[in-house]
Amino acid sequence: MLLSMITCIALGSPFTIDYLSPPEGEVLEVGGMGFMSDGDMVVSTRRGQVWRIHNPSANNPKDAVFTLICEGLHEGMGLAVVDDEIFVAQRCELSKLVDLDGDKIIDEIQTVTQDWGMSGNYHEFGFGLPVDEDGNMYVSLNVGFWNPHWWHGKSRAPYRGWVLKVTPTGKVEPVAGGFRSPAGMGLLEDGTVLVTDNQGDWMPVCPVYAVKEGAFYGHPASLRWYEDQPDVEPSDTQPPTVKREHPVLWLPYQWSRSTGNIILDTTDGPFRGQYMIAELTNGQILRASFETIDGILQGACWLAHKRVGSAYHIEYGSDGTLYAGITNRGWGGLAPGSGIARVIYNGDPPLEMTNGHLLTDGFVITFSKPLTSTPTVTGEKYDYNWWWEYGSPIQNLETLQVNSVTLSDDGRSAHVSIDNLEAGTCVMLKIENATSHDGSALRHNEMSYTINKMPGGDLAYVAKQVAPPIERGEHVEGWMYLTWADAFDVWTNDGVIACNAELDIDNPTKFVISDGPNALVARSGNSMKTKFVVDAGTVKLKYMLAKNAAAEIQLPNGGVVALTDDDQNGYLGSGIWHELEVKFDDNPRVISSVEVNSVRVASDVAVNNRVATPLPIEIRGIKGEVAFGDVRLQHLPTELTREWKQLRYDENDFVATGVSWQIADAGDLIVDGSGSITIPVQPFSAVGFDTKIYGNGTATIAFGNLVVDVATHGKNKTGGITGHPINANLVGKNEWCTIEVIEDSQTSVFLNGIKIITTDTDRSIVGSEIVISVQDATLHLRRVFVK
Amino acid sequence: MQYKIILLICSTCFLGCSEQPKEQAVAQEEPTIQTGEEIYLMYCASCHGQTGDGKGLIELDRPARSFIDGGFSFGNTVEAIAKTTRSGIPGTPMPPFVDVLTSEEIIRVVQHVRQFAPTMKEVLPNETEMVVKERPAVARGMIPPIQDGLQLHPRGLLVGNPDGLSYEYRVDDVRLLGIRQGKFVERTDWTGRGGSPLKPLGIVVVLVENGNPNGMFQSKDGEPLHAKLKSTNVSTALGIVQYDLLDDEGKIYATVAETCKPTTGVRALIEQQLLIHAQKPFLITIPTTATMDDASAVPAGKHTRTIIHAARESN
Repeated sequence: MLLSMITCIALGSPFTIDYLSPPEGEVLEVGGMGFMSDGDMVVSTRRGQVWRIHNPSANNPKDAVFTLICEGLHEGMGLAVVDDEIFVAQRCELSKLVDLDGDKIIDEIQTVTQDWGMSGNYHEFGFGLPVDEDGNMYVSLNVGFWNPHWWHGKSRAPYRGWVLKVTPTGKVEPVAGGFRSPAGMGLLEDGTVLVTDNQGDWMPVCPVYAVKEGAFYGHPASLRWYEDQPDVEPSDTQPPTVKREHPVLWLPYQWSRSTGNIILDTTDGPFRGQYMIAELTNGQILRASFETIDGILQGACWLAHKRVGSAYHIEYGSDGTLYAGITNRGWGGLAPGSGIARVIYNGDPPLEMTNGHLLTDGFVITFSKPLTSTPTVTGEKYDYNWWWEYGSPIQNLETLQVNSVTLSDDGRSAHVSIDNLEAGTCVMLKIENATSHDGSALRHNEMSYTINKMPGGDLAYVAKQVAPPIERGEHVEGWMYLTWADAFDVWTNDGVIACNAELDIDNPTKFVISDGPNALVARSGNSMKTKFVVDAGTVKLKYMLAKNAAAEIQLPNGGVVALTDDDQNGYLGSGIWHELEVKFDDNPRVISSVEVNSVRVASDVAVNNRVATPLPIEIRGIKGEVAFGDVRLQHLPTELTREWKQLRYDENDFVATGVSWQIADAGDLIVDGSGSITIPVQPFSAVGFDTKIYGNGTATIAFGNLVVDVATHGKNKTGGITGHPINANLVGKNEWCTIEVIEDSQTSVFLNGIKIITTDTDRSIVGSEIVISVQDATLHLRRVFVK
Repeated sequence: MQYKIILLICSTCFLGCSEQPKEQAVAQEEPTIQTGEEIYLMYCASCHGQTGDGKGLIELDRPARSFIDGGFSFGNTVEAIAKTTRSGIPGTPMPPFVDVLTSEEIIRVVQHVRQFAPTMKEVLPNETEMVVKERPAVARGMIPPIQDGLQLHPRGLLVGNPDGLSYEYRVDDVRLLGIRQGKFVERTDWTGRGGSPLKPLGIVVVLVENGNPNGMFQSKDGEPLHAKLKSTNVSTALGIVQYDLLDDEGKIYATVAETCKPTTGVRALIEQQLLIHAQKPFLITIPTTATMDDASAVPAGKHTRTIIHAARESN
């Protein structure tokens, strides 16, 4: 009783959100959704099941009846019902599901087509399944991710990274490529195929594309399947020279981090004629409208419904209810993470922006109800980088120069005059002081518009081609992962627990805690502080607050960043994971910047709270339940060259057993295999070097009696020394780090410039040889300096 | 240096003493098998408590699991707890015991641990296991190499019949790779982000041509015909796999509906029955490991052929 009462979250507004109840023990990770002519809903799931749901629009969501009609499919990330025939996009094929005897249970699965490639990579999802007027169906295919450079998606089987058309006879016609993880599809009102993609390499944020046959959408991996392109794996880092097609929308990162499908609203509700977009990570639904400027499609988007759950696939029912199929397994997102949500319109129209029309000198924004007075409008414009890095921060952020705002006589539209609009930017407008005559405030007061083209002007890319950043894994970036592997190893922990946490939708001031490694949960009074100190650097972490919860990050320079459950800046709400990045400095003593989900919320804040020596970084639970994780610290080490000299060794003296070695062009010594190599050297008392390891094994470097661990596997991780193991995986696989060991009265180990070990041992760097031992791994050693 | 002396005394006793303390007498016998309880007290109780209540003598940042509450991190089957015991739980103080205890010792201690939970409900079938009930079942997914050294098949197909036999196909040319007996399949792709291969659970009783068979169909001229999956059907007692036979130009030679079952009364022989609707004549080349009841040449028209596979002893 309590459960059913509370799971119905009243927004106190035009929409109510509730959830259908699958049979006990069943988990519906919805990938596709459609409706039979009798009103039954049919959903396909990531578990390869197909469920038929009778009475999905029942007043009491518990009255909907679930029947498992098919199972054993190879995922079901898309479903279409055509004339009461059910089609499912499996990872491996497009299938028609047939009930031979009329009992609604599927008896036969007919292959429509399998004409696309699969390499066997886990990431090669296949999505779908819009159907156009002619009965053509559309599927979209992910690229694969391989180690060690998983952030460079690859297309290693035909048409990975493409959208394919399947004709009613089952013939496959490739439409266009250049996609990365095109997880959501849809159709424009005119039948043009829409595809959403997911932020990552070559995708600065999540885009919406209106697909043109033969066009290229920006991710180079799939270029090899174009007839006029060579069938080779393109460069990981160099942008291709092929012309890119523009998206119709770039979705702001703070609104969408994993975009699902997009549908046209044909209901009699307030958003008829516009498009709704599912968003998984933030668990919400966005709304969009498009317009054609000199033949170029582009448009505006808004938030539509917050706190729905991890919405992957949305559809409207015939009664106007918006159903959201939910899944987030392995991806993470707002609770709930499975099932079906209903967003039910209560018939009371909200005050919303209904359209944003671009003019040469600004926008005309229309409203669903007349406004009482002229609103205040402010705004920003920005663009992105198009590069191999995973996503792009906002670039070239500028304030919009709003000259004037003029409300129309009927109060239904405002002309916003802006001086500095330009093509190749996204605009974020904020409307304040907007109320309608019935007293409603604007339900969502921000509008984002993607300007590919100004009226009469030239086309310009919002995602700008830039010089490729240096390949990851080619130099010391200084990042240390403070909570990987043994999450507490480099922390003094007071009550924080390692677990999985998800917001309890029945009591959102709490988390549902289960065993797992995905979160560190602190309650009021719990804290973790580093066992080491730094003076300056960048700290990154992800955090999630339960309702009304609060936490603090104590910075070394005395500054404190407070995390509260207040709907402002980049903060999205309780139960949603946020990414926090804080840069701090000692001289001058400032918090240089704070970003929440890439939205700058503070910069150059002077720290007045004086501290004599740097404090440990401390994460404190202040109120309620807070979850955090993946705490990273970047503290670039000072150059080793100061009073050190580069170690010289003669490769003719190397003695290797069980390993192969080479000196690379850059001078790196690369040791591979299982065994050791002994290098005679002159005696020394301090050593510093850059190193990285790749492979599933471990390595050590012995300087006399001092053995330094270099490993991302096994018990002793990079940075540990004899008798003083490090159990946290501070440095990632295939990432360079700088290790310095100094012996005076004590032995000190510095990792990326941070003193992580101090020990009163006898001198152990004695002897005149270095022994590198590797087990099933490849160790790189660069720039060995000694003193 | 003290412990060295003690060792010396012990070894002296071992060689010559007649009066021995009780403990040492035990130590001299053949290595005793430690009970699960003894192993538990030695390795687990310090954190998990003697009674399994999670209140051991060692204070941990994250309290050890109370087995009395019946919760286990990664499942409560013997296999699941054994796996946790073997590998430890990264990010927690639970260490791996793989190098400390033998597999048998781990099983014994796990059986002891399971006794702590008051009402240990066996999770069967477990959440990701697909079970064949009264109807046949079909599972689509990647299938791992059926034998070491063979390939993973991104497109795989398992047909499970209610009699406990299941049939493993690679889909690209619809070839039966092997026949299994026992439980059906673990949907390992239901965990994590998905995308991992299925785990067929049955024991392989027939491995067709070492698990990597050649194409079975040719035109009369000896040109290979390609089998292309048309459908799977679970509406009758045995699962049916239907496919078309096409030549390189896409011309259809025949449609074949294939079912498999043990021959009546003799479980050691399994027949793969082909109901053929041939538009053009063609040839069947059966696996070297099998026999067929009729001629390899199939004329146009409706025909059946039965290919018989001999099963290994499955026990």
